[in-house]
This record gives sequence, C-alpha cells and structure tokens, in this order.
Amino acid sequence: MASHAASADSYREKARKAEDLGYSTWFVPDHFVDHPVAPMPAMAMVAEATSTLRIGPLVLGNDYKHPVVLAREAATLDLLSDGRLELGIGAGWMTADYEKAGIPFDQPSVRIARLAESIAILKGLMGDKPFTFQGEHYTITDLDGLPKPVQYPHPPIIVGGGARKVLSLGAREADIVGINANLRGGTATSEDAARSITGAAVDQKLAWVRDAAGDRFDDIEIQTFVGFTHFTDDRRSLAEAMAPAFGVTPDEALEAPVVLAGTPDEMIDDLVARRDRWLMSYHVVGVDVIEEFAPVVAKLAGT
Amino acid sequence: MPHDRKFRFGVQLAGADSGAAWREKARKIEALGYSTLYMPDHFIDTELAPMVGISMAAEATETLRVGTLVLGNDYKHPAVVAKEFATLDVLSGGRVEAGIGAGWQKIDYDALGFPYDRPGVRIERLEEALAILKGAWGDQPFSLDGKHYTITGYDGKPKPPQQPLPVLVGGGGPKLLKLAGREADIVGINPNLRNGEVSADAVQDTLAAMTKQKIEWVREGAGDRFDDLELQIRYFVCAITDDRRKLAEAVAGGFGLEADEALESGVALVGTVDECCDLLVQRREEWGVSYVVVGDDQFESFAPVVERMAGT
Repeated sequence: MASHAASADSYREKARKAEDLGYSTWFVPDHFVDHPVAPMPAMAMVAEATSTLRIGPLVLGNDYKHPVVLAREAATLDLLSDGRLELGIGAGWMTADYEKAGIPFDQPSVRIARLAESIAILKGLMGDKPFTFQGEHYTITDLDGLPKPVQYPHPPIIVGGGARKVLSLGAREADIVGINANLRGGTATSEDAARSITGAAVDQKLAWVRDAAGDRFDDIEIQTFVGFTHFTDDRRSLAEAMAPAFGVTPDEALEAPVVLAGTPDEMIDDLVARRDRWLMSYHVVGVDVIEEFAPVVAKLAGT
Repeated sequence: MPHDRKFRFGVQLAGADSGAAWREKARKIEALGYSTLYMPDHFIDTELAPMVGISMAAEATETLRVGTLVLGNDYKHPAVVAKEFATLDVLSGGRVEAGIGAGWQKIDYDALGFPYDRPGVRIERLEEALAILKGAWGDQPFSLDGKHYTITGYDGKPKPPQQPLPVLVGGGGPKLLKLAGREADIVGINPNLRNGEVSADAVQDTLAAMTKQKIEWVREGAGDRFDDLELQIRYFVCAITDDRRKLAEAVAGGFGLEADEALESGVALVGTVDECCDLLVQRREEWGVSYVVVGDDQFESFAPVVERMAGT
C-alpha cells in the first residue's frame, strides 16, 4: 500500500522494486485529506512503469465518484494495463474527506446501500449488453459501458470493511473480501477500532462473511491490510509497550491480523496461522517496509 | 507575462484498443513534434477515461505534455479532479494541462442519470469549480461557500510542481468565453454546442465572423490579461490536399455551407502543407490563435506542418 509520492522517480522506482521483490499488487488509498496521491493517475502510471505488477485502489470511496464514471475509469485501466486491475471499493468512512469536499456524510446504512447499487452498476456496465438499473440512488438507462475490461467478466472486486453489513455485501458480491477494523468513528485511530480487530472479533467477522456468502464462500479470497509492521527480536516487549494505548492486551495485539511484529520467521509463522484460522491469504503491507518484509514474501508468495 | 504566441500543436485522441497500441501512439505523437496529447471526456462511444489514458501516455513518454480537452465539469466533483490533476502533474514531472468545460453533450448526462441544467447553471458551476481547482493547488487551506459546492479548509495534496498548473477552458458562447478570458491560461475557441449535440447550428457557429466575435468575448472577459492568454483551436475539419476547393465542395453541402464559407470556417484547416502553414500564420495575426489541435486521423498527415511551424 503506497501513499507517498515525493517525486515521480521515487514513486516509479518503488513500484518497480515491489514488482522485483515478488509482491503481487500495488495498492493506492483514496482520500482527499492525508494521502498525497489520487488513485487513478497513480495506478495508471505504475501499471505503465511495470510489466506484471497488479494495481488497485484500496479502496475507492464510493461516494467520491459516480459509478458510471468509475466503471469507465476502471475498465480503461484494466484495458490499458492488459488486465492487471483489482477494483477495491468501500462505502466511504473518513469524515474529513466528506467535510472538506462538502459531500454529505450519510449514515452507514445509506452509504452501504449506495455501495451495493454501485457494485451492481459496475458489473452491469462491464457486461456484454446495454445495462439498465433503477435504484434508489442511481438510475442507468440502457447504457453500454465502454470500454470493456480485459478481465472477464470484470476485474476482481475487493470490498473491505469491518462491520457486518458491509462484510455481508462483500461476501455476496466481491471476489476478494477485506477484513478490517471498524471505522465507524470516522478515523483510523480510535480505541474502538483496535478492539474490533482482535482475534475473537475477526472470528466473528469471518463468520458473517461465511453466512452471507453461502455457496460462494470457497471462491472468495480473504484479504487484510497489515497496517502495523515492526521488525524486532523481542516482540513481547514491543507488544507490552504498545498494546495499552490501543486498549488491548499484548496477546490480543500480536494476534490481530493487522499487526505483524517480530522476526521474519515469526511473521511467516503468524501468516500461516492466520491462513489456517481465517483463510486469510492476501496480506497488504505499507510501502515503507517492502524491502524489510521481502524475505517473508519470498518464502510465502505462491505457496 | 505576455504570451509569446509561438505555434504549438496538440492531438486529441479518444483512445486505442490496447495498452501497447496506446503507448505506441503517444510515443509517435511525441516523436512528430507535437506539444500535447489530449483526451476528450464522453460516456458514449468507445472513448476511454481521460484521466487514466493521459496518465499512461505521460508515463510512456518523456517530454510530451498531456491534458484533457476537455473534462465535463459536472461528471466529477472538483475536489476529486483537483487532486487527480495535481497527482498527475507530480508524477509526470509538470507536464499537465487541465482542460475543463461546462459539459454540453446531452447523452452524457443521460448516461449518468444527471439533470441537464440550462447553460447558465452549468457555467456557474464551472466557475465555482475553477475556483476550487486553483484553491486546492494553492499554498493555503481553501474554503468556498458556493451556490453549488461547499469546500471547508481543504488543503489539497499534492501541490502541482507547475505553479500555476495551466488551466484550459474551452467553449463557444459569450458567457463561457468571458469566464475563460477571466480565469483560464489557455482558451479553446469552439463551436457553440447549446443544442446538446453537434448540429447544423453548431456548424454555422464556426464561420470566420463568429470566430472573430468569440475572440472579442474572450478579450472582454480577460481585460488586461488578454495578452497573457494562449488561444487554441481544435480543427475538426482538417486535411492535407492539393485541391482544397474540391474537398470543400464535397463536404460543405453536408453542413449547409458554401465551399468558401467552409474553407474559412474557424474549425477548418484544409490545403497543401504550404497553404495550411500560411493559414495558420494569417489566423495568428488576425485572431491571435497559436495553439493548433488536430484529431487522431490527421496527426500523421499534419506532421510536415508541425515540423515547419512548431516553436516559430
């Protein structure tokens, strides 16, 4: 996950480095406020600067663009990158984005209802035939979405979230489901968010995904964003020092799928254990650690 | 600073069938001496998404400028657009031209399920959007309590390396061209598309006398800054031919024009390489237009004109 762009050269070099180190995908977040790149131009550039690295937004805030606009941009990116797009989309959660841009921040159920309609529209416009949709939030009349993407029937759709409603939507509609902390506080740092991603909480989230997915559960790839990675020979001390600030115990901190702390070998063991427990096989780390984390990728990718 | 009025050339392209074809086209345009690759912004037909297409083209080339000709303002929120242009400006090393218009093609609005407001309202929104783009690219957190947009303390990131990032506004009516004169760095002189589609009305609006009138509207809006502006025309009827009259007779009737009218139309550039070069010089003297844009199917045949005139 890359959010920095000091210059074109450094951004391009990082992306090529990620490709060389065996990472699958270069993800770009979508926020107005803190993140200094917009996903569409950044992903386009990275795709053009590399040859096999996949690209994706993690995740687009659905409310920032109309789904017809998004469908065309996503399909263009998939076409021009020869089918390397993974289309991450979420309901939108960061209040500062909405406030600064003057976009109404509706209650979660409304945002999720809009997201559900958007996903239907994205799939519909990428399909073979002209598409009509009469929703509560969007109306599409006999529109043949162009261009068509290279990946058929559409680029893999990633839906990420922390709460039952959005995870259920992801389970029904997405190809990749991101299991995240709950961000209903509107920021990424609340204690509430940390408590929502303990091992027990993730068990619960996975059960929601399984319930909603039904027969298609086995087809879904489970992803998480490891927002906290720290390389140390003494992870116990680190966990003891850090955990109280997040309102969790040191054991809970080390167990949380958004945390990887320890030596590369410990991280490898953690990731294997998380796949066994939660089927979590797709892990995203911050761009700052791609080199340090490379031995873990080398050991596990494709296994 | 007064603009030097040296000629430069652009190509407006809707897309390509694959990444490889797109890359090759962008590199060819760069090699032929064109300044800029532009993409339009429509939802009907096979057009690609401009922001993605120009980003790829920028990465595939070294010095070619890239831009939108033009974004329809209503299709995306201006805070989103500001960030996308600024990101691309960083990632391309300062090669972006941010072209934006009020939106005109009715079927695009229908595709999006958006209301097609009357021109005055669309232009009012564009005016606010221009303020938001510039505000987001400036040093300070920006606020706007507009009629259409409310922006609160938005410190746009990243900041574009070009200061200012050139803004291109294109249009054909008096209200829009006056706004462009006041706010843009590059003004595109276009047919008036008030009917929401390309119709006979729009063709009549391209005649030479109308083009002159449009430039007066720009001048009126620009006031003292008129000399700083770069004026641009997208030549929709454009061909290298030894017999310009014959070609004119063949196409003019279809548009309800006389052959002479068609040749003098502000969007026609037809003749031998010498004739086209002479016409461009004449129009630069009369109209001040120095930025010449051609389409996908003409950029190769116009290469000799570009070779002779670019930078002069």
